Amino acid sequence: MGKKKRNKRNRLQKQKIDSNPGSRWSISVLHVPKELDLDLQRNEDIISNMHDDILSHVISFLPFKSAVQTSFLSTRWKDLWKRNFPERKGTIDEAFAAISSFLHGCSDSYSDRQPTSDWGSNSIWENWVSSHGLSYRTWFYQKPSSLSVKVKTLHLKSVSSTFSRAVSSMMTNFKFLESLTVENCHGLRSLKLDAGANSRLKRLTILDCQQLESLHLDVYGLQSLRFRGKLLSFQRSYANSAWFRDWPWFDGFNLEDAMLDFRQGPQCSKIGSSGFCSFFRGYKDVKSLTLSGWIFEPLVYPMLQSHPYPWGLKFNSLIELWWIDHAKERFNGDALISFLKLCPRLTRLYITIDPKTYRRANTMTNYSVQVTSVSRLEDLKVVKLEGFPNEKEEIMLAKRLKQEFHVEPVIIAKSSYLNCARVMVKAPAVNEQRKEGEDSYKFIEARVEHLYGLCPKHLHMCI
Amino acid sequence: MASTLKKIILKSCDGKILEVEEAVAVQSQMIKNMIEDDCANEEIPLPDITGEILSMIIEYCKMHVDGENNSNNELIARDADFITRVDLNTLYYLIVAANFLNVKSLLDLTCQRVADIIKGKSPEEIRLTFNIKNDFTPEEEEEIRKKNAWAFDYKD
Repeated sequence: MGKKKRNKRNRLQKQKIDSNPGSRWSISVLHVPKELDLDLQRNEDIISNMHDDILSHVISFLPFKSAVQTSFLSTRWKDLWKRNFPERKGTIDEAFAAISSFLHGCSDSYSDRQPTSDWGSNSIWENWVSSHGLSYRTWFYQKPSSLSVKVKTLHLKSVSSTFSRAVSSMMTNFKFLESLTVENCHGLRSLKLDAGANSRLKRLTILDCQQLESLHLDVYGLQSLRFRGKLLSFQRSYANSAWFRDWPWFDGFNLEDAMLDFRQGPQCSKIGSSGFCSFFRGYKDVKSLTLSGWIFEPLVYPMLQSHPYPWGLKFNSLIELWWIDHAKERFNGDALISFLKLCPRLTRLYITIDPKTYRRANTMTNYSVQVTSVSRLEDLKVVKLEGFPNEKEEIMLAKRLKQEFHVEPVIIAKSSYLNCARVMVKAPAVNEQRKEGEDSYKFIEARVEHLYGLCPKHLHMCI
Repeated sequence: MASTLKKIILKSCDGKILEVEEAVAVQSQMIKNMIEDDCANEEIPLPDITGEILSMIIEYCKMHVDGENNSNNELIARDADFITRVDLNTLYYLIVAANFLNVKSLLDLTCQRVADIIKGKSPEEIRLTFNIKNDFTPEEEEEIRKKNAWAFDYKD
């Protein structure tokens, strides 16, 4: 074949490709050095060198969470996301208009509305409007089988009170929503999620909404419920419920992880009527729990006395507990110890002493837990301490755990050295006056990496 | 039927010549366009595709042409069988070639395969699988973790 001819054909081929913008896959170029084609080096990162179009196409096949995770791989992947999902900016009015039209336009009832993106049939989009501290971020996941847009995960940040109604109507608009996060929404006073019995909502997270006073839930089958902020008034409604849901101990949640981080204190003055009491009835399946120490007395303790079947109130599935408390000079562990008596299968205990935690004047000096309580914590393997006022308090707690539950878990505390932790060990008997049967403890420094397998972070610690 | 028997000649970058029936070749949108423009009468050089990859692609296209009358499920099963036989390096080249030749169904299949490999893995595991170098500074990584904590901890 003559060179001239081939050149002509190549040119023709190129022209054909260029003149056909509709076939978007034909214009990609792989940025792999030629020689790699024939002699591939095994350790080469080829995938990252692929064209944006191809990588976007790969991402479009991923489930939502995996898709987002690809942006954590390297700067190449992060930039890919930036380029493909640009941020929009505008005035508040523009943002509001965009959000309103988005909310109405993308509701699942508008199934005849075609998506405007030119992505494939199986797509994830991000829509992000931000202005003057207001940002609105939504993720779409579209099932290939349907033309309707199905929003599965929604993350709302800094939505002002103007939007609170929109937030509340979310559930009606997004029937496929599985995960909702409301974060930093100052001005949002009340939130009502009315999803009914057919809701697919599995995860609800509410973080740092300073003015949120009340939460009204009509959602069943929640698996994850996470709060960080002030203790708010909580209501469950049973409008769509079957008759048995009116029984006081029926709860309707299947919570596997629950975070009640109310270290910022109460929002409402009547703590006892906050409605959260009803929560603890449904906690039997919870595996990971976070609790602020101060709510034990007003919320948990009354439950122990009024539960219809006191022997039923145990956290039989609880594996890891994060206890957030305060301590000035002494750590008062009474509430913690009382709570531990309800957790027979606890494996990991994390205690954080936060000086900024809300303090409630104790009215009771001694909790006598009247329900059948656990006397041994056989599975307790590790206790991680943070922010204790001094080493003496840490050792006191270890002794108390042994005394109450006959366990000697590994006790780890933060160290002032970089990449180190302090591990509690038994000290040899140096003091002759030590009472018989009583151990003395001390701390030694250890490298953190050796401890990670033993003591992974609590599920809620990276939120 | 003379038209279906017409052969298209493809030449890989390592010099291998392959004769393909037109009905099979037009699975590639690119070749189809060339045929329509009447510039596929001589051999078509494919600068970035090796003979091995080209044979695989032709095998795939043939499978789809022959299987046109088969049920959808049967085709899906054949696709799955085809793609699971492919190792990661070959997969890359298939993607690039499918992209270049514009064989939409193969591009979908290969990209889906990569997605399946990514799915369910942590970012660290994905990096290991694909030899992706983590080039974030520790500060950047910490910031990403903080910003996107919600995507890190939920189990699907």
